[in-house]
Parts: sequence; structure tokens; C-alpha cells
Amino acid sequence: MSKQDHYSLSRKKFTLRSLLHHIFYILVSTATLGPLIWIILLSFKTSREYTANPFGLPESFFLGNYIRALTDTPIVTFLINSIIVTSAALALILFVSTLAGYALARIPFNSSRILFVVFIMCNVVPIYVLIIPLFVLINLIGLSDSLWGLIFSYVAMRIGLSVVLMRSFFRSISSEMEDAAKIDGCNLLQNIWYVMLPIARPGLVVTAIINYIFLWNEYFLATIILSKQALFTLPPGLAAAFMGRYTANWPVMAAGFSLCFLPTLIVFMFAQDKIVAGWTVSSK
Amino acid sequence: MNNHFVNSSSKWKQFLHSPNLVGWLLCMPALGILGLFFLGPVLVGLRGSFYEWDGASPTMTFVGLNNYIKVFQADRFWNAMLINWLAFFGTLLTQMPLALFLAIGLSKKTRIMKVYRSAIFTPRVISIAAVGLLWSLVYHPYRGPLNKLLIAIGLKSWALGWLGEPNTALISLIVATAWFYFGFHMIIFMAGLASIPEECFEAAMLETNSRLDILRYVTLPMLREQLLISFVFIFGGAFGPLMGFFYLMTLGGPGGSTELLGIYMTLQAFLANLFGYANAISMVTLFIVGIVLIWPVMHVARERLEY
Repeated sequence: MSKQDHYSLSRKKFTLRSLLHHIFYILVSTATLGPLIWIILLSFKTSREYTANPFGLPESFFLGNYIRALTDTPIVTFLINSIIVTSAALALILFVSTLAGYALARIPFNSSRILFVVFIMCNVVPIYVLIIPLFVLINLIGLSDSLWGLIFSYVAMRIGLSVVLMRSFFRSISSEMEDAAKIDGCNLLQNIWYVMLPIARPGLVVTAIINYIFLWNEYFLATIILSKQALFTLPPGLAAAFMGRYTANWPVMAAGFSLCFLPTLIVFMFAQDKIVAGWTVSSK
Repeated sequence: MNNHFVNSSSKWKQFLHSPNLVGWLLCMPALGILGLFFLGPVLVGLRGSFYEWDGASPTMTFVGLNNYIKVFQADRFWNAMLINWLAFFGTLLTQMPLALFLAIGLSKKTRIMKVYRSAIFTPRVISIAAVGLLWSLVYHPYRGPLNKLLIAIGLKSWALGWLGEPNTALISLIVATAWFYFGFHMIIFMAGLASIPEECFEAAMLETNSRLDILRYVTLPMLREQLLISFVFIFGGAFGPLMGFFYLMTLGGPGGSTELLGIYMTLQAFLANLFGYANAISMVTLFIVGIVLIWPVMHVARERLEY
């Protein structure tokens, strides 16, 4: 008997109780997916069609909203900025957190415990409470006219979590491989690069995906720190170019929503288990 | 471990290969970025909070503790403080019980349960900006699907202005936030449940038949760690990223009914050009967040270091 049975009574199949459970799960799933399906369907309708038929399927899969969203707004610029910010920040995060995570997991040095607490603290204290001083600082060091201020802020926000993740992945590797590499004459960096990283690659992928989702989606820091619209990433771009401006044309707003969500949706479909694994490890 | 670094004859080489030096060197890039972009803002904010500054002019006037005095005397600050705590308790009380209940129900590893699980945590991977866009449409008083639905099923009197009315704005935003986040907490609890040894339940089953007793005396105590982490995330969220969502949806309105500390701070800086004052709000908020989170963080850190 598995332990979950104590709750859901699956031993007696199709009891009233389990039926009620399923009805509840279906209701909750409808509540979470319903709005999403609604807005994606909306993006294929014409504006007039929405008024007549707000909930049903579109008459035909009208692509005009997407064409308008792509040509009428600077969404392509936002997309390029998003790709630059996400990939640069991701590369930096993975690099620094691999080194620090390895040190905390594998090197017995006397400050490692203190440093671990520092990284955890930086993970849980939201940098958002420092958003005004951060804005002032980025202006002060002259990064306000580029994407670098935002990129480094993101890296600072995510180092804590990523180091904690990488540390736990490195800890789960047995030390025999390392000893073998040492006998073969590997130095420390060779050891990290050729021995530890290939074994820890699943962990690296999980860290990368978790961070990708954050970086691609982050809105408020980008809105405040980026000084002009030409530098906007997708989320602030979406808010600036679509909300308000298209209040009369909801389907175009819906198309903007879908364009922003699509890359993440693809990652979600293929790497769902990795996302769950990342959240799980980060909570343990 | 340090035998990694032996085979070196001279003391200098030994020093270069000492675990202390190597450990610190490997942590250096991470600590450098944290120092500049995490500790940096703290210092800049602390210094700035003692000055009067409009954010643009080169002159900063030292005013001592004046900004803090003004902060604590402002009704609007205390309103933002109240709203922020309400938002915290609101998100806590909507997300935690629902997430816990669903985690317990859905932790069976059958395919249909996995489908439910995916359906429930999908919103978490959407951008807050996109979520804001979606819910600003959903809550629209005249054309929004929520009111259309309510009218269609005959509940016309329930079709409210949602985000436009001070009475309903905060609660509407809390519901939207729960929609966005609770799947994440469900995943955390599911991971916790999976790590409880089965014997615990079997032993409890000998003692009692009451599900509630099992929940109270076995499941919840065993999930202590996950409940604590969930609390940390919800608290950090209410004083952190939630400000972005509220800022986008209502800009703190109507009538300050959704004005979190972060929104108050941002508006004071960018609309009123009171950067010193905004820095003081930032420091006060940081202090509150630090005080509340220090114990859970030390606890979690100790737990992980021992394992």
C-alpha cells in the first residue's frame, strides 16, 4: 500500500469520494488553464468576433493580430534584447555558480559555512526592496545606457539560488571519480571541466532552465532600470507597447501575450520534469 | 581532499594550493558580483537615505535622520505598510492551504495526476507582465470575460468593477497572484511528501482512522521544512516581486488600496523626485524583511550544512 492511499482511498476505485476529488481537481485545473486557453483563442479572433463570441472557438484561425503585433510594435527589438539579456546573464550565472558551487561542495575550507549562509541570504532577500538604490547605483557606475546594468542585476539576484543548486548537485557525485582524475594528473580546473561538469550536467541543465524561466519573464526590474524603450526586453515591452495602447483591440494584446509566452511554453513542454526537479532541489 | 594539492615542494606552492585560497578564489567571481550589485545598493541606499536629493541634480543636501522621521510620520507610509502585510497574509492564506491540499491529493504517481499537476503549475512559467496583461483583460468591468460569465449565469449583481474599486482591488489582485503562484508551492509540498517514510503513515494508521489526525500529527510535522520554505518564498514575494505585478495592474490605486511599500517607494522616487526619501523607505523595508527572514534562513542553512 502506498502512503498516498491513506488520503485518496484509491483502493476502492470510483467511490463517491474519489469522484468528488476528481471533480475538484478538474475545477482547479480549469481555473488555472482556462484563462490561458481563453487568451490564446482570443489572439486568433477579430475584434468584432470577440464581442459576439467571447468564449468559443474562433471562426477561422485569423493571423492578422500576430502580423499587427509584429509589425506595428517594436516587439522584434524587445525580442532581440530579451535574447541578449537572457543568454548573457545565463552564461554568467552558470559560470560563477559552477565555480562557487564546486568550492562549497568539494573544498573543505574554513569559510565555506559562512559563505553558504551568505548565498542563502542573497537568495531569499528580494532585491526588489533595493530597486531605487540599485537604479541610483547603475546610473552612478554608468551602465544606465546599456543592457549590462540589468544583466548584472539579474546575475546578482540569481547567484544565491544557483550556487545552492550547483552545490547540491556537486555533493551528490562520489569522490572516486575525482581521485582517479587526480591520479591521472588533472589540475583543479581540468578536474572541474573534464570530470565534474560532465557528471553534473543534468544539474547544470536544471539550473539553466530554472534561470531561463526567471530571466525571460522578469518585468519590474527591467521596467525601472532600462532607461529607454529601445532597450526594453519583452516583458516591459509587452506592458509598454500593448497595455493601454490597444485597449480597443484586445486580440492584438492577446497576440502579444502569446508571442511572449510561446518560447517558455515550448521549454515547459519539453523540460517540465527539469523545472519540477529544480524547484524541488531548491526547496530541500 | 587537500591531497589534490600535494606534490608541491616549496611553501609558496603549498600556499597557492591550500584549500582556503582555492575555495575563496573559486567563490570570488560570485562574491564580486554580489558585492557590487547586492551589497552595493544597500550601501548606496543607506548613504542616500541621509540626504535630500532629486535624483538628477549634482547637489545632495545632508539632512541626517530627517528622511526617516518623515517616513514614519507619513500616513501614506503606514497605509502602504498595512496593505503590504494584508497582501502577505492574503497570499499566504490563499496559496498555502490550497497547495497543501492539492499536493496531498495529487502525490500519487498515476498519469492523470501528473496531468492535473502540470495543468496546475503551468501559470508559474508565464511572465508577470503577461499575467498582468491577461488579468487586466479578465477583470475588465465591461468587456472582461469574468463579468460576461457572471452575467451569462445570471449573477449580474456580482459583476463588479474589480480592479477599479477600492473594496475589491486588493482581493482581486490576491486571487490573480494565487492563480499565478500556488502551483509552485504545491510542487514544494509534493517533494516534501515524497520524502516522508511510509512507516510513519503505517504506524499512524494503527493508532487512528482519522485522516485529520494523520494530517495533524504526521504529515504537517514532517513537512515543517517545506512549510517554512514556502513561508519564506511567500513573504519574500509579498515584499518583493509582488510590487511589480501590482505596479503593472493598478499602480497602487484606486485610492492607495493596493499600494505596497515598493510601489510607494518607486512613486516617491520617480514621480515626486524624492530619492532620499525613497531610499529611506527602501532601508526600512529591507530592515523588516531582514528581521523576519533571518531566523528561517539560519534554520534552513543549519539543516543543509548538517546533512
